[in-house]
Amino acid sequence: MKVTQRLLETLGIERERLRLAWISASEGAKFAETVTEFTNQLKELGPNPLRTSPGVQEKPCSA
Amino acid sequence: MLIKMQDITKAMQEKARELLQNKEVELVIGFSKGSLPLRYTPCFIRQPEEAEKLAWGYGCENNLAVYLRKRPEKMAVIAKGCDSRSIVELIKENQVKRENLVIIGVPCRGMIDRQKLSRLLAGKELREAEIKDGLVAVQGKDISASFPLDQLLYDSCLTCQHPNPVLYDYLLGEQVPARGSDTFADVAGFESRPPAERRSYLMKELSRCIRCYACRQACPMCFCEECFADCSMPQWVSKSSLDVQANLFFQAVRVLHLAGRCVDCGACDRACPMGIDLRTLTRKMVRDIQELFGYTAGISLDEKPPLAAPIKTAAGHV
Repeated sequence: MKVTQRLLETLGIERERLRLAWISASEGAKFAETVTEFTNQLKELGPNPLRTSPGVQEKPCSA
Repeated sequence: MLIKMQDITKAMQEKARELLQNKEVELVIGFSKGSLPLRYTPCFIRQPEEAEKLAWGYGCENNLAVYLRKRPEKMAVIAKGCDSRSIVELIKENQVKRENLVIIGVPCRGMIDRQKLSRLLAGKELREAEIKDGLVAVQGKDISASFPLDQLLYDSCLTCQHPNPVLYDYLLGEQVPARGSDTFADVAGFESRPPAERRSYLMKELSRCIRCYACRQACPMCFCEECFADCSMPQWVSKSSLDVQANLFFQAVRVLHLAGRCVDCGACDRACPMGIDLRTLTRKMVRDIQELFGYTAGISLDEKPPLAAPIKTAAGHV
């Protein structure tokens, strides 16, 4: 995880875009909470910066 | 004392002949002279009388560890520092049997980057090159010049910490002093640039990628039976080289797969026909693995690979 986050950062992708959480099958509430929180964070960060780099065809970002 | 390349060549031929004659090995993998000045090419010797084809010089740049996997016969291989480190990792990953391998180590003074030379010659044709006392004297049509050897060596050789083979059965020539420590200043410099600049640099480099996969083929550690880039069900990454994001994604995943295994030999970078800077990413990974895990690939057979060993961090786990 750490290695990948560092790599993403070098590529110019915020490390917050990658997350690992251990959630058991019995922790439904925790799962929903984590996903909602992560989705909100990603919305705040906006589309992947690599998608909008200059010289690259822009693709519609499907949510 | 500076041992001459010719002496090493001679010792290499003798050792290969002896090993083949005594049936200690069936195959010797080394280099022979190429048809152009400063060029050497990997060569495979099976008969004792062919041993004279072997040669050693400043163009023996290929990482020969790439040829060792999945060979049933006993073989000998010529190994520089970087080749030997790749061999160590391959043994650790059960890809090569140590008992089937005779390693003929050769301390390496660095290899000449023909691209650097060609830039200095402004594209003029090189016809002859002679290396003497740290100077490379070149002759060609309308040229006669001399350059310091260090100016022509590959970048990967200029930061090399292990010019001497780490694992060998026979050593030809004298040990070479290692260069001053590698500070990874290039990686730090790249990371200090703003994210947008880093992105556009990498995208610009990878926009030249033609997806020939020479980087993958030249790498001794890139040996998956089926590469994720070749999969079509599911298709993890677009196969079109026109998709620059996918080219970058391919390199990012390649680098990630090499975490803790890459010895920074620079074979991928040299194999690239488009001259794409691949070492910025590979070296970043090498440095991160050193920082996070205190691990340098290919140094010892006993040290566990970082991703197979328990991880200790300040927080206690990762």
